[in-house]
Amino acid sequence: MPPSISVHSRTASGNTPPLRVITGPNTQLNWPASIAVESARGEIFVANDGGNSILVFRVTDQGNVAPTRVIKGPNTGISNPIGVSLDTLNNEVWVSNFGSHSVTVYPLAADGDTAPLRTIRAAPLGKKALGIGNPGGVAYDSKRKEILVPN
Amino acid sequence: MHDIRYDAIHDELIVPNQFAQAILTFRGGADGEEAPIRIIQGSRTQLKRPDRMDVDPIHNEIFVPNSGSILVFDREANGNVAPIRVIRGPSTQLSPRPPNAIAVDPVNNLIIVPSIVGDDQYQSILIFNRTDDGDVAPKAIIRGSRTGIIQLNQIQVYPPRGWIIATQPGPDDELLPGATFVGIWSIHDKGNVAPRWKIGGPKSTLKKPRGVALDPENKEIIVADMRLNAVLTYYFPEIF
Repeated sequence: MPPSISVHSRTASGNTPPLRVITGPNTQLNWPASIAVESARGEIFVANDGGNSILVFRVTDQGNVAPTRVIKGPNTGISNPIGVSLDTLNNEVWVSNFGSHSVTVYPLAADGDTAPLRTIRAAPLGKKALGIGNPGGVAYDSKRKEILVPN
Repeated sequence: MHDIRYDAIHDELIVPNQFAQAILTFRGGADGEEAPIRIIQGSRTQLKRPDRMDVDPIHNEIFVPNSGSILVFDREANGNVAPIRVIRGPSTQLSPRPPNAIAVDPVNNLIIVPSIVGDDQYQSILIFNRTDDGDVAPKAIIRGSRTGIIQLNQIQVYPPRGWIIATQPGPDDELLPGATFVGIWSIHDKGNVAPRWKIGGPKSTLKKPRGVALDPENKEIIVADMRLNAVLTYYFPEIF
């Protein structure tokens, strides 16, 4: 199944078709991992994991449409984003980046290769972050004096 | 991957790969995109979504808890090979749900595995002889309310002093469950016995411990906590 955004009626139940579907190569959707809707602006924000980007669509969009804005590029710090959240009080969009173990914050109207307003990370930029995520086990390499973590 | 074992004698890492239905062995110094040196995989292996395992580097065997059974492979097995022993049958009291932990004690010749027994709501610790095969009863069961066990996640043994060290992360569906701990029992324990020691509570920092490893040289217990996304090291000379 190609990636898509399906919009259903709020009161839909059972085997009901969507009202609209956004899908197709023009959408740039690539492993969309998370979604947030800004109702006042009528916008859908998508954490586009495979595309290293945040895609913004109109809530009324359907079919093979291009996003109205794409936050993407080396200055953005976006790397495999898997979460997106909106702060409508301060007009900011928050992005969690699996690829760089960071959270980056942008203006709600950000577009293009925009640098983040702020970055939260467990290590300085350019340094390796810990990267431990949901560890289910651990071992100790007594030869190398190293802790092994299946991640 | 929910388990990992280091074989200090042969300098190898072994991991179960649940989705590939395989046991993978890597060089101890493996780094980056490096292929495993051995893969146990295929229909003859009887592996069914293996999620846990342990290695006995002295007797050269790999132990894998499976659905209602314990599979034992030659440590150097490679490819589509059958297990050399299978503990399975009603006498074993192994639950059809695969145990989510296993440990082998190559000195005292024991297999330690948690399992739901009968109609119990929570797990017990079953202790088998290392060379058991077929439909055999466990030689001991640690079971009952005093154990504090809900479900255990990773188990280690310290053979020189006969200790069983196990993490209890609490129920899977609770983000911050209470009564999480690292519990320590003796291999000689049986019945409704509390752990000899427990690492847990607010001062421990632990939220949901899942992994445990031992560093006997420094007398340390290493714990991986899934809620903290962290590895914590405790100085615990009592068991060493």
